[in-house]
Amino acid sequence: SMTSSSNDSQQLGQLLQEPGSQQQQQQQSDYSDITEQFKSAACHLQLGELLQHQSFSLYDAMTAIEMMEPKMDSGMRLDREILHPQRSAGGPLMKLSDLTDAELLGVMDESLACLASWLDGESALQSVFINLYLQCIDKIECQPLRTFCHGLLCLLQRAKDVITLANTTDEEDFNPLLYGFEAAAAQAADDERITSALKEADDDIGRQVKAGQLAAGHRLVQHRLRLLRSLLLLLRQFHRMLQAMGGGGSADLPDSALSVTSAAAIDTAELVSPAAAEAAAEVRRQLESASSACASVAASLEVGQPAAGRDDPRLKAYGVQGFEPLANLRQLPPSFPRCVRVFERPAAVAYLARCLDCLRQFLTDVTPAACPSYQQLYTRLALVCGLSSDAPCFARSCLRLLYCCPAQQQQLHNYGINLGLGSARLFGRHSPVEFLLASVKQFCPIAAGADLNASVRQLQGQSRQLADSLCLQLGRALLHQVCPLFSRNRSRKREKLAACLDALWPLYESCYCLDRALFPNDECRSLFLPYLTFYLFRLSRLYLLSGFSLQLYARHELPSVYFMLGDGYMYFLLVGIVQADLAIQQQLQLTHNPYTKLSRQHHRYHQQVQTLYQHHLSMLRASNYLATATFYALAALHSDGKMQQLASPHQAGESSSFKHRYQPLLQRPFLPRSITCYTNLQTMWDSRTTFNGELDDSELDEGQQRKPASTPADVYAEATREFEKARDALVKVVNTASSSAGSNSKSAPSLATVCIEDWDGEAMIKVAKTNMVVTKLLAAGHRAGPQHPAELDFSVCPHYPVIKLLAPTAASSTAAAAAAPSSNGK
Amino acid sequence: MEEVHEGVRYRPYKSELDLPDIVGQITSELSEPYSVYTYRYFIHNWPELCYLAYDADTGRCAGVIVGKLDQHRMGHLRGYIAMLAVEPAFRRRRIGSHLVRLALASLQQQGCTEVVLETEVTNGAALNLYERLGFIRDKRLIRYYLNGVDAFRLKLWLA
Repeated sequence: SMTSSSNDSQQLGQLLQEPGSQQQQQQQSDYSDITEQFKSAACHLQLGELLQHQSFSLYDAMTAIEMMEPKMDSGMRLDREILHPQRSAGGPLMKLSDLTDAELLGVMDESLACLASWLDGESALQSVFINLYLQCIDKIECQPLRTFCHGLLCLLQRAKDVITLANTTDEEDFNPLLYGFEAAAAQAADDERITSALKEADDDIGRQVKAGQLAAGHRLVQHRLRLLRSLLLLLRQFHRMLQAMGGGGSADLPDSALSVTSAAAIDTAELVSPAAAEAAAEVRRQLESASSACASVAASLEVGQPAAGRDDPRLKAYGVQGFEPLANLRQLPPSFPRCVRVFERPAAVAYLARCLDCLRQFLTDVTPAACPSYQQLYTRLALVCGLSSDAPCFARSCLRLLYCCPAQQQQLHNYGINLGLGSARLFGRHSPVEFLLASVKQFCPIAAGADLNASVRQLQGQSRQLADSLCLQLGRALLHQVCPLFSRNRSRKREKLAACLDALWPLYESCYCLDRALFPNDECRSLFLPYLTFYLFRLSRLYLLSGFSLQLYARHELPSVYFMLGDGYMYFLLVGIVQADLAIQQQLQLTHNPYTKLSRQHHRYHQQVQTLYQHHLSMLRASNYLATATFYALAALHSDGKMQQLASPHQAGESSSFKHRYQPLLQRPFLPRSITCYTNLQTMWDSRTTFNGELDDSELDEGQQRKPASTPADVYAEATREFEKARDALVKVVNTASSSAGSNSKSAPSLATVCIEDWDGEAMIKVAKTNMVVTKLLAAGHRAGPQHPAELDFSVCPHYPVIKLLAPTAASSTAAAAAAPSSNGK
Repeated sequence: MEEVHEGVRYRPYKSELDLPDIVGQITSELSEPYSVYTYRYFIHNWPELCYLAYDADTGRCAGVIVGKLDQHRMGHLRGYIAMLAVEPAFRRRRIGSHLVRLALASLQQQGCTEVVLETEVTNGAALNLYERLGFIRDKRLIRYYLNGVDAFRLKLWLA
């Protein structure tokens, strides 16, 4: 029953209601107080007796709101009179005309701040639509403001269309709901009319300022109008570029089709059509305009009226004309009040500028000059994927659409409706199978031969069926799963990495069988297997490294992480690729005849491509060395009593935790099974932390067995040798890339552009060098023992720590004296 | 059954009369709001996973834990620690750890194979407590809480 509440509550309720509605409500409703009847009925229940319907779920329980509970009832935040889009329009806090420069700029800048916050994941109701002018645009008499509001709504719709079409965001990244304001946004859908209106308003201001009718300060308003207009034009051109990519009749081709008439021409296939390249050039022109307008806005943010009430709850108003954060509470579904953070204006403009910068970087590749054929695509894709990790979600959505553009014109026509990207094509026209064959050929040209597709098609019977099926599955997995995963946020990317591994590992055996079918007379020659293994290596490595940025690893888990990154796990994958590489090298030598010009040319080309692949392999091998060195260093630090945190606090369940932690990597063909892997880890750790001489490392591979250490100094010395090996390998890799960058080789892509995700060669060299010196000192007995504790510093490189020796403290000295020698524990 | 451990009495949930203590502890210590339906949903369906801790001398409520157990979509039984709170005056006495151990024992007895919970990434004390018991950080949930803070999903696999 609606019992009478306090006068304050009644007044607050009236603030939310339309004029006259309360009376109207009373006329329609017939209330009666049933408190006594309720109490009488309830007294028949026993203490603790509960009536619960089967359908009452946890979700229902969690979303129930206790009215007037401040933590749950958003309405309790209403502690003042709030602005209303209809009632307050024209009043002193929501002027419709005669706004001063500061007031007008305040509205526009705060709107941009809300727009950036919405793009960053805030709800539109609590960001963009706290600008009440958007709810009564037709009443606005100030022409620049009215046009700005139309433009903002149009931009909202266009940006939402791009993000929804790309389907690369999750609920925590972006909230596409417009909560009943779809109609308002749809009214502003005609962006051609609106961009014209924005231009007209811009020109009008210019004329009036020149004629002295408006103050010079109004020029700052022009910058805001230009920014909005350039963003709208940018999105329009981006859409046209997608249409140009997705056209050309590729819509009806199956996933196995090739876009070229001759498969041998894959090498020189034009990846980007001239029409798409021209559209991309137009997008870049608009990008420059938008960036320029952004910079102008950023330089004049202090002029607009500040939102003083945003952070100071004592103030009764937001501080900007027409802004009311609490106005839309009734539109929100009943939910708990969520903390919303609107960007500060400089941060908002910087966010928009970053979106534009990312897009510019991504678009640089979509030109015939930068990406003429599949030869350059491989390195470009790696470079872009590496850059996309921290990009704003709008930029990531654009990246996804750029590389995996829907081929279906219908999808683009239904701009804004997410139809999934199952028919996605590389640059809108190249099928997954074509992408795969070209990529495999780039990976191993000497093994692939001149026409890989022909070689595959020459297979007969079951081999042919296997080839067709494998190419389709692998091509789809790479184009539709591996490429798009770089457009996800960091947390979801880790989940998608695990899903990619699950999708690729089952193809391992098929790749081996296909290689044997392609090269029946040469047991050492392989193509698809090392290619797949290479991707598995990179994805596994990325999966392990992603735990660092997400802060998933507790200190005591670090030894197992480096064990997996080093000799414990990655080593096995690396061995497979290295063996294939050796076979390729041998074949290269066999086919090279230095006496013919053609042979010399081919040899140079293949050497350059092989050098590219080997450089990539060298980077991975170097990081492998560094991981192994870090493992040994951690073992030494633990055995020396310097880092007690490395001991596992819960040894009983450790093997179970290990198995689940690395579940996406373990239980795979030819790799150590989880229990074996864990046993190896324990044995390798114990052999470096247990000094009772009774070591049993017979279960380890011969390469991993070692003479038992007798003191921590021996383990430090071992770590020093490994860090030295890592340093040498890293320096070689970095120097090779630098010398390649300086060379004038045009035919092959520069080694400097080979980007492996989460790789920072310089930082890793610094870590290796520093740790080499530290472990060398410790091996010599300098600052030995637990009275000189150590700490791990991840500020230089987020994946490999620098060992820092801390100053001895009284506590550590006492603890060192009382502590027993360390033994088991990881 | 009741037990006394280091000056603190632990007992399972008995009746509706315990609800004020439970609600009082959770409301004052945790940032997320819970309606009375939420409390009753957990406690009435899984009373054996609700434990309270009282100071043996003063009888003051020191801490409470609330959980649930149901079938995961993969078919196994999964436990969930919904709420854990310890009165500030009683912290650093391993009361929270003991409450969790009691809940874990009850879950294991019922055939539970894994236990999950969420906690704020900034809640160092909770992370230390659970990691000492063998939980690992399984996932990071971006902007999970109403205040915009990320959460870790912690998981423990029971033998």
